Amino acid sequence: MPEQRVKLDRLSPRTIWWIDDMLPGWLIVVASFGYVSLLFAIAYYGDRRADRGRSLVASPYIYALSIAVYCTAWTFYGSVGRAASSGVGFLPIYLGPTLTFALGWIVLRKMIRISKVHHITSIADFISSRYGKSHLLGGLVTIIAVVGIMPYISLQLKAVSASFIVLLHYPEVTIPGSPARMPLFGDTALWVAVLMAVFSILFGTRHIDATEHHEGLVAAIAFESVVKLIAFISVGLFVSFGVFDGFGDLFGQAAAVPELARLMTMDAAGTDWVPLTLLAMMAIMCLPRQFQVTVVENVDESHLNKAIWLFPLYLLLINLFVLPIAFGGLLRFPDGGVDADTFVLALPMAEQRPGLALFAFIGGLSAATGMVIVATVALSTMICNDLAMPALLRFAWLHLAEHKDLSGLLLGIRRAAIGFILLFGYLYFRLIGESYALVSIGLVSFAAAAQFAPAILGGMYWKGASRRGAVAGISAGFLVWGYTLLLPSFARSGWLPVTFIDNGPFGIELLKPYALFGLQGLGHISHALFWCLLANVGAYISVSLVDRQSIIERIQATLFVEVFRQTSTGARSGLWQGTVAVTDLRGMAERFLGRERTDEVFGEYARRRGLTLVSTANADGELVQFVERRLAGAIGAASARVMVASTLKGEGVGLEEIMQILDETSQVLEYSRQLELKSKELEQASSELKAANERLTELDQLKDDFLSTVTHELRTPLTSIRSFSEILHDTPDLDLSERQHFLSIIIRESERLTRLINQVLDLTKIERGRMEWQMSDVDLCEVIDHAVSSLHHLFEEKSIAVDVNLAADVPPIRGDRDQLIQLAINLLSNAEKFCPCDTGKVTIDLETGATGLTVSVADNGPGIPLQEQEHIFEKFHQARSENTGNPMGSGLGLAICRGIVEHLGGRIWVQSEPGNGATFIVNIPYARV
Amino acid sequence: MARMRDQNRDGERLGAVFLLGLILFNPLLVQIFDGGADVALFGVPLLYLYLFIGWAVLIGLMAVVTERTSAHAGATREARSTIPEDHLVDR
Repeated sequence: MPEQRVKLDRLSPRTIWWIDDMLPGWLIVVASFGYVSLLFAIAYYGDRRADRGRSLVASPYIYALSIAVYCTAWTFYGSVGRAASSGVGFLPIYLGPTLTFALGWIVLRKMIRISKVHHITSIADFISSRYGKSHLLGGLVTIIAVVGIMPYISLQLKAVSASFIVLLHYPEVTIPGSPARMPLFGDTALWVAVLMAVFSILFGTRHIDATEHHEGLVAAIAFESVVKLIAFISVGLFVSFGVFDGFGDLFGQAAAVPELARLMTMDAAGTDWVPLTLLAMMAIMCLPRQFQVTVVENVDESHLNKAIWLFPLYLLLINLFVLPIAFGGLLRFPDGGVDADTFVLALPMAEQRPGLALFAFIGGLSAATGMVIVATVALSTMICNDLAMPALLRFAWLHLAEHKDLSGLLLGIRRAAIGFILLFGYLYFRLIGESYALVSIGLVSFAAAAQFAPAILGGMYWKGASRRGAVAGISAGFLVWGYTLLLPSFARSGWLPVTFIDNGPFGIELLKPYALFGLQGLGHISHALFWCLLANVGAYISVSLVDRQSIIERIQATLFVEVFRQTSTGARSGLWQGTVAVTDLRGMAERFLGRERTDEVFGEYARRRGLTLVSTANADGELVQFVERRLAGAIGAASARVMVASTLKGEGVGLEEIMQILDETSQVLEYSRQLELKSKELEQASSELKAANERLTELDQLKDDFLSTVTHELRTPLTSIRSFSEILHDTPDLDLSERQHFLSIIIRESERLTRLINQVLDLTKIERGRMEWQMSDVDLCEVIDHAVSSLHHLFEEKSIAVDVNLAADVPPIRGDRDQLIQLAINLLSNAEKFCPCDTGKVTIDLETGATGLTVSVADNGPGIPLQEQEHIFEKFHQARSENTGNPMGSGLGLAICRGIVEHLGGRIWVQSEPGNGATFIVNIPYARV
Repeated sequence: MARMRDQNRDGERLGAVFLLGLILFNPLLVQIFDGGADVALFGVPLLYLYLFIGWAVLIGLMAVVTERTSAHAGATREARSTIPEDHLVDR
């Protein structure tokens, strides 16, 4: 490694010549062009992939990155500038969107769903569609958007131009001269504007598409988001760890300077904290470019899931180094000679890092171009669809409505609009853009976009919001915005007398634009926001409340507010049941489609099916559905369905009634949904009941079996006891040996009887927890020995070999000795019961384990079928002998075993393969020391 | 049905995260951590640490809620295909 470094040092004067002292202008230009060419390439590739159906943007990560177009040059350069004057005052602009995205699940998802269902192409389209497809509203929103966003586009051009000039003076860090005073063709901003226009036209208006997806464009935007993030973080890391010795050092040095220490308080952030957060919360939804990438370009609703947290994460990352760079800049240039807006560039330059400075410039360029491209495309769509087309269609002499294919014209309008937007953006920057610091222009645009928020949010959740309410609200808000923010900006630029700001118009103090009606103590933006929203929301709500909605408004309101329900019922379109005469159906369709179009529709149907429609005959289901679909193209799917449904009932209805039906329908739908839920629950409950019942029946069967077994078992010894007693009673002269023999039988049978009854009692006790346990430390070896010896004679009778393998040094377990003996005896006698005579073999193993003792009792009997193994420990359950089908025991032994083992905290189970015997295994934990 | 309820649940959870955000970034609460340059941890003013860590925590919570949903959705994708679409879309 050292050798390499030497080599590099030696080569540096010649090979990496520009590192030393200069950064020639042509290199910056080549790098910029190279970067923009790369964008073109990515967009082209993205579109090619989309054409071939292998979408590049079908990923939540690309989606989240494209939303990061929110971070413009304003973020890239302006945040640092703002932080340098107000400390954490820049943060609300990014905290707001984080909060909105937390609500994304509720709000954004609904916006996306509505837009997909209604083929919404822009924010103007969204608002106009919600309020009864109002052209007036669409046009109004478009105009506000253009007026409000234009300064923002200028701001991006200004940022690129200014940063270019700063970089050009490398290594000298200068105050950027006025870019507007540069010769026209030497101005970078112009070239950037031209390039962006070309890009937007190429990739933003390739074709008119119902979905309005521009995949190549989105891919390029996502790429730009990556570049600006990496560039900003690189500068941040360099400043924090290259120039300074980590955050502690940086902030420590800053804290020593009183003016800088002041920035480390909330006071520095000013009173705008909450208003700015609110403003940013609305802007992230309402800025046309954000609507474009978040809603219109969304290809899959589920991508939102990841974006909900990925986008805020992006914001966090790109803001992480804002404060370090701001303080770094303030410390490095203490005399205020360098504009804080250029710190991102100036710091690497001052530290002689031309490569990093160039990278930072490219980062800023990508932030600016990303915004310009998306905003321009969004605005051009709005200008075309909501301003130009409605106007053109109105001029009857153009005969536009009769044209079949208008897509060429649409594309032409959009392309022209892109050109105009960028041209005006550039002119704005040349003529007026000088008066404001970067941040203020951005916020003015935000405030303009925020005027859409009440109409959008209200439109999605409040059915009663009316078109006139929306028009009134948006206009009022816009007027106040113009008065409190736009006009003062003109005044500051010298287009209006400055006295307008200082003394109010015509000297009326109350109307001072920055202190309207005497409201003071707020920043300009907060002040304007307060009045704008007051006017906007006030007018919106009050006009809506006194207004009467038209039919189409009510239909659209229902469709928007109940979008999730609407889409859920839309899928459920079965064939119509019911009858309607063809002539009635035709009459209904005529009212919406007109006679000519209706004739066409019915003719088309008849042709397709190859039949003649008899007007008095009943229409079949397919015809009804066919008409419904055609009608949907004219009046929307939901109303078409309601319309057809009303006809089926045999009644012609007026539109007013249809609305009621629509309302009722949604209510009925709600009821049926609830009904569906309830019936599902019922179904579930009844299946649970059924299962419980089956179990009960089974248990009942077991009990019956048990009872018959027990009575059988009781009767057998009783019968023999009785018969032998009778013999003894009737024949007193029986000889002694025979008498002894009979008596011994009686005794044995009585013992058997007692045993059986004891077993039943034991089990009952164990199960009811009434067994008295005498717990002590028990040696299990002794227990097993005892059990084996007490059953010795049984094994001998059947000549069964018993093999006992006990481990050495067995630790004691905690238990009741008698019960444990019972356990062992039960297991052994169970094994004995199933062992064949003469060849039978029982193996008992005792092993020590980590936590307890394991006893296994293996026999070589017929084994236990798998399905029996689950039940074998249940009481009353008996393995049936394979030959006779008769139970072979009382069915209690193993149940008792389980009761004992479980009481001692152990486990019992069986391993068996039918035909190869069975092994019962018991695991009992050691006595706790 | 279970999926639907889960989705509703996640909407509610994210709503709660939103409210938490409102509280975390409320000037009243932020003020508590506003000690100026004097109150610093590892040299970084506490105010900055509070805001950025609070922000990160908020994002973390949002990630946990939504990622759990995605995992769940993945697990039930099998079942999903058998349920008619219209049962799923409602909120």
